[in-house]
Amino acid sequence: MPAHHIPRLDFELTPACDHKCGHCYNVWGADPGDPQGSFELQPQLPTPELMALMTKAVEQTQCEHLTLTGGEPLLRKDALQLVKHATSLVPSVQIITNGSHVPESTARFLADCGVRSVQLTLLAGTRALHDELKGAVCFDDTCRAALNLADAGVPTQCCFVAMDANRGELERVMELCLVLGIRQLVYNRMSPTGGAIHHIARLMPTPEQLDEDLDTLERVGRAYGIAAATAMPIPPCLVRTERYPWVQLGFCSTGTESPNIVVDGAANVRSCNLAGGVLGNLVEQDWEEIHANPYQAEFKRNLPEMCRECAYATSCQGGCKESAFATFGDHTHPEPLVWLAMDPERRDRLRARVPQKPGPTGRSGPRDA
Amino acid sequence: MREPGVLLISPGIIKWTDMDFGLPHMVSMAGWLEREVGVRVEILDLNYEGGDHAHLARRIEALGPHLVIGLSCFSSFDYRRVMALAGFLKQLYPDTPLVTGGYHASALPDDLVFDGSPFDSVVMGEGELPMQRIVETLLGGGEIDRIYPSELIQDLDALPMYAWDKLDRYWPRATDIGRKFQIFLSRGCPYHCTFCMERSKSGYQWRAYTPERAVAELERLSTYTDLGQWVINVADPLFGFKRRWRREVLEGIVAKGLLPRSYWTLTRSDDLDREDVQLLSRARFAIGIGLESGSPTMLEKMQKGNTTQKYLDAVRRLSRLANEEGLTWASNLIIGHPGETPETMQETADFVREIFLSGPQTRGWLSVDPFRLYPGSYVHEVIDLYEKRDKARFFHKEWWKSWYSASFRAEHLDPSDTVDFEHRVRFMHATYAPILDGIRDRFVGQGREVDAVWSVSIEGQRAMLTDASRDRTLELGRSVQPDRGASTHLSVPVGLQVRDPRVRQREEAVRRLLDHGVLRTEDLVEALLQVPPERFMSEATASAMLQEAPPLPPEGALPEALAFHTLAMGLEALEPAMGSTVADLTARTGYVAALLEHLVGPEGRVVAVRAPGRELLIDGSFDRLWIGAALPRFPKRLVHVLTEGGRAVTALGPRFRPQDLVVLTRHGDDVSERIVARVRVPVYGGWGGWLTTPPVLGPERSEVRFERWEGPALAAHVLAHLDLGADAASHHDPTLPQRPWAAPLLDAYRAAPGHLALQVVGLHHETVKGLVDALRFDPPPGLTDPAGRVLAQRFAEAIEAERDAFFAAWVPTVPALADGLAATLAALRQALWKPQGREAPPLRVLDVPALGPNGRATQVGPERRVATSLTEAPEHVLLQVLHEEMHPITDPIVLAERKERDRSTRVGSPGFGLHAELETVAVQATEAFLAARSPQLIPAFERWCARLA
Repeated sequence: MPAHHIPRLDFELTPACDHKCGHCYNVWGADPGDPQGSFELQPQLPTPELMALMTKAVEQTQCEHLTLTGGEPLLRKDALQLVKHATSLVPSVQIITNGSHVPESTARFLADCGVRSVQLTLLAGTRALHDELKGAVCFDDTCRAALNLADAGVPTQCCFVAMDANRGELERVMELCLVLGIRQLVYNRMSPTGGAIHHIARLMPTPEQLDEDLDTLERVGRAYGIAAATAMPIPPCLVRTERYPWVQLGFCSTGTESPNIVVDGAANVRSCNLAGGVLGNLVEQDWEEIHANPYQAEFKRNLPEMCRECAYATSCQGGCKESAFATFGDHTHPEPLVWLAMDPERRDRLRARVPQKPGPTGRSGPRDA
Repeated sequence: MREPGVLLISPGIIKWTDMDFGLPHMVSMAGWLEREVGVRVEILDLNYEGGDHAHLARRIEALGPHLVIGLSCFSSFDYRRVMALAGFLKQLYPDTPLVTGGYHASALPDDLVFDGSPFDSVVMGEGELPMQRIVETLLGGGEIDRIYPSELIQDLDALPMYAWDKLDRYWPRATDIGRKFQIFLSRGCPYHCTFCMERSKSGYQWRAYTPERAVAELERLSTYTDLGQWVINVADPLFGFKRRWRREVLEGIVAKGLLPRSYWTLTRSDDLDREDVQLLSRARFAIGIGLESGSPTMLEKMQKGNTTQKYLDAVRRLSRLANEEGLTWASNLIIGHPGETPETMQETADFVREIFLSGPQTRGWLSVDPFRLYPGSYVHEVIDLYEKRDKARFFHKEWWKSWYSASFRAEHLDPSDTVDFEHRVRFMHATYAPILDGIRDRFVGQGREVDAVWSVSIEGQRAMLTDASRDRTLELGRSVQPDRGASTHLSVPVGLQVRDPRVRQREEAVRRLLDHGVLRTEDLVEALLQVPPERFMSEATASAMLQEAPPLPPEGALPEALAFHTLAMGLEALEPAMGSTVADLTARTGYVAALLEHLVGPEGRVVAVRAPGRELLIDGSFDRLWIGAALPRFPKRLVHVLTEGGRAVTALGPRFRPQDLVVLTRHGDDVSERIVARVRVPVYGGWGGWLTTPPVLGPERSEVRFERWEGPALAAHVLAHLDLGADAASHHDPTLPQRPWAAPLLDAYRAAPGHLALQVVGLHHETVKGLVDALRFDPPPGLTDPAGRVLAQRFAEAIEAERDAFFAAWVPTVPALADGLAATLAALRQALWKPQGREAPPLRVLDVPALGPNGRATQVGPERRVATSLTEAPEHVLLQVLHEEMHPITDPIVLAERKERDRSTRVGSPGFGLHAELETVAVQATEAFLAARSPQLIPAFERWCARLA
């Protein structure tokens, strides 16, 4: 197989979203002065062009899996049309949605199309905290979506984003998953890019929280039969990962044979959802040419100095370097999670470098509400 | 061979601040047994004995054979140490009956004799008659009983005169450092104070020598020692219960002029009129009064009598008379006795203010103590009553079984439902700190040198009531571990060498871990107690390790030391068996390997891998592996180095956060893991570790370190004040100012044959404190004979006297070395040692400016230490160090051909010939070596020779 062939591809169908999550990594949420602030949203392709783009992308990359994401992908009026087209192109299609737009009919449609799985986000086991962190009244919708999907026979994943504001919530979320028929959980520790960098001091989880959560995933996941995996890398310099055999722990895939390449609704290609750098435009260029962009190789080579002699340098690559760039403007800067873990007092000092914005802390009201 | 005798051992006390001497209870018993039974009796006072457990074993053997060994458990605070010492003695002499006695033994005999106890028998009460029974039984071939009930001697005059000659071995040292001498002139106390344990030992009957005999005892004591150097503690439970007796004794003392620095005793206040106070003052007595409380309610609860108002009035009268007649006195308070209320505490404080602060001056001072639960006391006996009646809560009813915080546990209680522990602590500090300040400001002594003793007492009391002390106590109240009972009995003595701060710190660290349940294995406790870490690392590093704050190495470097509790947990988990084969893959200092050697014994084998290079690997087959640094995961390759069922202990986990201390046990091709604890240890560099670079090691075997230490620098500075005359060791600096200590030090130097040891003793101690303590309490070989001890003592005094002036000009950094000096020296040393068939030992060059162009050298463990001034010309320094390094090579050759061993640097003395030959051969060899290896240095060598003549 040619080197530029890749097994999977993400399509960001729209930048629009009706939730206001503080932790949202979408690069277009960056403020103008931020390191990712130069990213400009461009007009989204209309339906026929976007469908043609999907076809070209699949043909040229020879990928076998598409993830349709956003923004909120189901906000596009042609979303279901695009889903159907995607399922006609590849054997495996996943949809990542905020859970507010999956009525029974949509669930049945997705089932009929053969969508492999749908990922919903649950940030807390209680309505009040979940909605507070999402900035929207959506807990009930999300639960309903899960039930609709379960009724329709579409496998559902739960995405839990670990933040300081929802520390201690994971077990309740897993119990909720059990009730909702969800048997897969994606554990994402907050990885700040886009506008999320302005909420690091408030939301970034501590390594101690990651320990607690991973213990929970191991214990509760085994007990309930809920498979667990991480999508955002957890550096082994912070957590003894081998203690958690139940949890599939991964590293950053950029520069590997299975990168997390993203194509947005304007055909711009980026190395992952968190990256702001554009590798090329798939309408104007062929994938082979875009794949030859040296960005990915350089990204992999660029390591924080403290990581260069680490035994995990090749696999871990310093954690999430896009969040390092988004926060500090430098891919070789230690990423925020590691940087804060090495000196917790930096959390307060961060404000001087990156303006921090107010938002929910998870402590404003009773969690049992 | 001698007939078996009786050996009586006093375990000594840990807080030995007054350097007490005397052991009157043992001396009396020894005299009694010798007279009544005709048996030989020896006494060991471990406060004065000095030395470690090996010394103790040798001493006991030399005093044998033993018919019976008596080991005192005088105080409940001694319980743990006494049990450990007893275990040690029983291992040495399993067939010799081991007997104990004392307050704790009298109160709780079952604490000391039980199944598995090293003790065979307990003597309750006073020792003379029960011990007589025991000795007679043993001499008759009989079996001794488990418990001997109290039998009191009614007529104390029936006792033989105190056999002070039984302490002959200790008199010289006691004369030198002792401050307080103990003697009993009476026994027993008729009062029923609830908090006191005296009742358990001597009952409620007051018995005394006749006044004539009492005075005769003091007169006899004066033939053993100059009374004028001592504070004589007449340690009777109640001195002078009977007025007539007291007056006759005091008059006898005055008439015969038996006047020490001061007498000190505890007596009653209600029976002292002006004549008594005058008499006490004339006899140089200072007296302690057990005031205990100023609250009539509490005095009744304490059973201090039913006429409490009269009692308090008597204290008022004593205070007034003492002021008028110049009698120094003190009183004791107990705060927080069960039943105490906020009101009673306040009443006491008001009374105390009236007594001590209402006038412009006071002759008395105050000792403030929390209530402590003492076995044998009435409170202890009816503890349930206090819990029900006063709602008191005793948190540690067997506090003496704690290894570490016994003194705190003894006072950790809620006195009542209106005063809890925290309330008591806060009240005591807030109220009495200013009162003690006021007393300190008003206190008037006797205008004699002994006033310094009382000042120390007053300051000591105040120091116990600082805010820091309060916070520490409250924190202990929040964090103290529950009582664990007597789970770990040791057979290794603790509490020896209590004057050596390094030993004391080591023991404290071990006791803390015993108390916390971290240490459970006796062999490991023994190893940790007996292997001095400062032999393997600097004193500062050893101290930091014991305080759980070892220095962090640069990332990837092997740590010199782990936190002590981590080390202890790891070694507990490793459990190396006697005779097993163990490898330490992260050896840097050799300390862990030394501990492991102790644990595996002579039949075992320990391999310490100092420089594993890039790979964490070792060839061979081992029962145990120790990896004292953090790894991301256990290297598979090491699995097969373990024997089947073999164990490895290491830390696995994150580079930047705490890791799991794990025990890995081999099963076939894999290991099972057990997590012991969460710890934070430095990460391992190199293959198998966290970093791909090789581990950065500590000093290589042949590495040269340049440092400036205060200990050797000040030692040499002091000696530079001495004009030794025609002496090759002289580095006299005539420009230094005259010091009053110089002449006595010089006299002692000239009188001591082992004076050479003085020139290098400083090199063994990084800190001045360590040096002074060593000189005082554990002098090095060459200074252990009487003249040497005097010299060591004078040297310690001189160092302390010069200390402040020295430190005013002290710069702890090392002057920059000339480029290439270290590298050249290292290369030459390698060339020097290679023909000897070995690598050059590690070398520490200490910058000692006072030595000028001269040098001093010694060997400390595997390390060579050379002291010289690094401000000299670089070539001079290089050649001086090289010359000192030549000595260990050439000296053995010279000594092999000469019979004499006594070396002296004094020109014309018998040992000077040997010294001169040793030096000449070393110089000649250095010249030959340079000619062959580094001829460009020959001109510098000639200048060096000329300079040192």
